[in-house]
Amino acid sequence: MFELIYVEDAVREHPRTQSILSRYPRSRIIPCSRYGEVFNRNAQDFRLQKQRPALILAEKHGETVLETPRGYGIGTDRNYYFSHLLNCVYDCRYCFLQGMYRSAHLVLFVNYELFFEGLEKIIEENSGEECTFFSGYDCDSLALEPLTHFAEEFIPFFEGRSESFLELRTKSTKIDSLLKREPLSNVVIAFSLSNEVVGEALEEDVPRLERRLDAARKLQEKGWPVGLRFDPLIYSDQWQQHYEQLFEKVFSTIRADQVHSVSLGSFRLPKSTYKKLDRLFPENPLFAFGLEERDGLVSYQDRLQEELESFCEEKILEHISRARFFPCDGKSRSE
Amino acid sequence: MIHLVVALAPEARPLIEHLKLKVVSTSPGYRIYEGDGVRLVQSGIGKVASGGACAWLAGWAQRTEEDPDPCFWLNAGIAGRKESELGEAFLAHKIVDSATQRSFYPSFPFEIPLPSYELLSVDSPSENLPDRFAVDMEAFGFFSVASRFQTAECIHSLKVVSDNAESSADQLTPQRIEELVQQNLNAIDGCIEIGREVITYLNQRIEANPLYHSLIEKAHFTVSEKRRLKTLTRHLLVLSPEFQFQGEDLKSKKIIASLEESLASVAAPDYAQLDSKVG
Ligand code: SF4
Repeated sequence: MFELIYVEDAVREHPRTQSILSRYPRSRIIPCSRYGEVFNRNAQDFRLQKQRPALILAEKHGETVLETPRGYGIGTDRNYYFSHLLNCVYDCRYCFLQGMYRSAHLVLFVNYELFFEGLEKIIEENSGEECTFFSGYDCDSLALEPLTHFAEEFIPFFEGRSESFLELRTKSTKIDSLLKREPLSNVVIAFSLSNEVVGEALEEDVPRLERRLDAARKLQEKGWPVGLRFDPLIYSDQWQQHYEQLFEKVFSTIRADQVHSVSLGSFRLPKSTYKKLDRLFPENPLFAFGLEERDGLVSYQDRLQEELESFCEEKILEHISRARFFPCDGKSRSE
Repeated sequence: MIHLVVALAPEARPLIEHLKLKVVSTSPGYRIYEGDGVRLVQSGIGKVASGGACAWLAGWAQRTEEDPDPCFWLNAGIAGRKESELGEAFLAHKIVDSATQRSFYPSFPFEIPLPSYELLSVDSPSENLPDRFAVDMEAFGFFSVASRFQTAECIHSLKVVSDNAESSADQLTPQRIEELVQQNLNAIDGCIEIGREVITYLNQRIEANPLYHSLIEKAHFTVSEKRRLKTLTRHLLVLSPEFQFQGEDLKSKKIIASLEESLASVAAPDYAQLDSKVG
């Protein structure tokens, strides 16, 4: 899968590095001193790199767990995120990661130990207060699970810490490690879902809606709390019909009464990211239609946004109680 | 356009012949050859010479071409590598400057068609080849300068092993160098072909915007208005490819306001019809 793997000298002998490299005996292994030498360089073409991204195995330094922007949450007052992985194997046209890094390569920080320390510290600081940790902020939480064993290794950390929640946000169907173990009530598997027309046009290499819903259903049956993330909502020709079909499909496949939480937000990007993406994809209507800038964020014009969100909210609330519904405040970024 | 940068005459000769290149510039500095989408410059030995040749070629191309195409830069030549067979062709996946220890990492958006190694660019020839690294005298200079004009996906170094643990560089003659390049013309052709594919991909992304070009003539636009005009016309054409501007003798502000109005009333996109080429 990865023809090139860059390995930081500092983690060359790390057991996780060794185990990953043993999965790819035919990859070309390239040593580097810091991942930034490859990842943060000028003069890289994101779209060209995205054709065949490389994997970079690196060591995380410094703070590992950070506060999320306000408005990003699913019920607790304190919300944090951490990123063991930068970038994503999928290719969603609306993804803010495309504008965030110069490179499309994937960086995996193999020293999970430092993340555990970071989580421990925050939990201690919040002594007893409920907090949620989001792992799918700079990546998809599960898409590389067979390689990273991220969920497999991080979920046990949350055992017996009922005041701390972990959200694994994903579009992936790589759920084997979750099906193999007992579920935890404080670990939420949150599936990002788009209507099928949008998915087909703007989500490349992503498992189709049916497969994602099937994975969500299996997890629900196993007892895992499953969340639904309708974010970003995209305005298009016949959007009402497309979203109506989506909700019908979702709530006829999974049990609405057992859904942990639903969140929703329309397409939005920080202005600088929007500009980069509009340059990267100059012919994509996503970046041309109905947008305006408000307070440094580019999103749909008020009327369109209001139409889109209130229609979808109304439809969702036909199935889900308001207590489990978390509309985005429009200030944090979309998925 | 493919830009080939080679150090020595015996490296250049087989390529010029094989690719049927003709001299297109003999002005003092560097001689430039060209034919069928390939340009070649012979730099001479060393990092400075190689970097200088890249700058010279890029400058020459900018002066002579009205609408320059993206370029794929390829540094071809010989290198030593202790562990390799003589005559083995390879691509560099990391280039290290022996003087500063700085590195470049060429990026591969294509399947790598050859073995690939780390390449150390040294300042002067040395008897002893290090472990693992291939050794040359140009690649780092080539990358340092070419990367000012192109992204790392379009800059590569293809080398043919000319000396190894058993056979020292002292034994190399111009004739032998020519032979080594000659034997690897297929490998070089393969990389040129990859370069052409990358250029085709990049060219697809260059937007044609006839609406902008027709409107820019109609009034005087300030720099920021030009930028706005470019975005507005592009967005309009993306959403409504048949759009035609109506109105004569308008000032720049009026044109922009009218385009903004048109854009606001355009129908929402039908993503079911989205052409996969648009990315
Ligand atoms: S939106 Fe999510 S799944 Fe899509 S590319 Fe970005 S991180 Fe990956």
